[in-house]
Amino acid sequence: MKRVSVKPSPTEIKSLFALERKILPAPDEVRNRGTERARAALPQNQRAYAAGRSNTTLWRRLGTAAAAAVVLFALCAAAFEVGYRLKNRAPMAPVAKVEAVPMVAEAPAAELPPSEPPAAEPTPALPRQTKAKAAAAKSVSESEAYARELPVLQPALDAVARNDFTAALTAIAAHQSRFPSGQLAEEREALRVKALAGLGRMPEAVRAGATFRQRFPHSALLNQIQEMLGTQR
Amino acid sequence: MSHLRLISNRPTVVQPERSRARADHPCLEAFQLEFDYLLRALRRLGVSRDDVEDLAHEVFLVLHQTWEKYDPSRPFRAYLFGIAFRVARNHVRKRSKEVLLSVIEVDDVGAWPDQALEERQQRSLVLQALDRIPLLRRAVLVMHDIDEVPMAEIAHSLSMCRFTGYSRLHKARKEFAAAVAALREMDES
Repeated sequence: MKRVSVKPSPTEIKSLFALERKILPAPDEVRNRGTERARAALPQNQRAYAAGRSNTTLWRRLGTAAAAAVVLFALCAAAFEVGYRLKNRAPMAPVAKVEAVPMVAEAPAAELPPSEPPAAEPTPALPRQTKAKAAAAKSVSESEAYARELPVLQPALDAVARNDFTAALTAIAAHQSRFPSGQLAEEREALRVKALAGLGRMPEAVRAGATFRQRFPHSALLNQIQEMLGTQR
Repeated sequence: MSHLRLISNRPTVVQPERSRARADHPCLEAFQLEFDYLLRALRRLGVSRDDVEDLAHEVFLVLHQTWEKYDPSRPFRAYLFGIAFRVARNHVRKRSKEVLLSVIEVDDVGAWPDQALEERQQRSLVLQALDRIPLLRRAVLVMHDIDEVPMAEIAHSLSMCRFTGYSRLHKARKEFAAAVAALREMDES
């Protein structure tokens, strides 16, 4: 038997709509919940402000706790590094060959103090050291190297700033004697060129510049050195 | 008490109890007055019963943000329905990607125990039939034939021209009748 779909008459549709038009009240709990949520969302509501303040305080506390944790971790890492170094007095970075022709006479390479260790060998005493630990130790040792070198080279920077190039060369020689291939060697050699040029010792300055270009071909200071030598000529 | 203007614009709204209308912002007071209507409007727009409270809150947030733009000379329900329509449309789009919704819910039948059984079934049938109509046309049908809002206001609230409104209404009425017939047929079989 074929079933026939009977469409509702317009009157039926109207009665359905009339029935649907009647809005029944929502349960009180739903209404109260909706009102409370809406009221809490109003910015001028005191409770919303209080909630906002408490949230802000919570985030501040969390931030402080996170910062304290980071500082604590850094302190632990530093303490571990110091203890590790004291225990295994391993040499630092490998030392490159001393320049064959020192640019300044008062800085002979042969007068290396005993504090600067010879070239470092791979560390056979640390077979269990992982790559991550090694990388961390390397970064710490680099920052330590900067911290040790900077006070030695700082007088050279100050001297160049006040155009006392003789004093600058003395400080440069002191740094070279202690850290011939240190982390600040690039800056030291650039200062050397500047100091020599400032003293009017242009042949030496040009030679120092050539050596600098050869040693640090990708240095950001190259342009400055070339400009300086070009203007001094 | 400028918010009382809203009441004069709504001929079908029953004056609420004073305790219910106690609010600290005219926007909140208007929201409270039309809370029941808003819930039902969202249900007519295809929002499931589980989501209707959350979406009512979203409607309130939009209402609060745009409160200054509301023109009190226009009917508030039409304005509120316009917001509800946009909120519901975004919601239905999101939900349609997650799960297939069905408006046939047990709660629709038993939400109000004091109703007569036949009346509850009829209201449930209306919701189910409306759910078979595309949302844009459904919104026009609901506003015009159920809420009895003039087409000019519908066009303004839903941001369309009157001709489009009438066209959608004509098509939606046919779809509604067909949906009712199909649902009754399913019920009988």
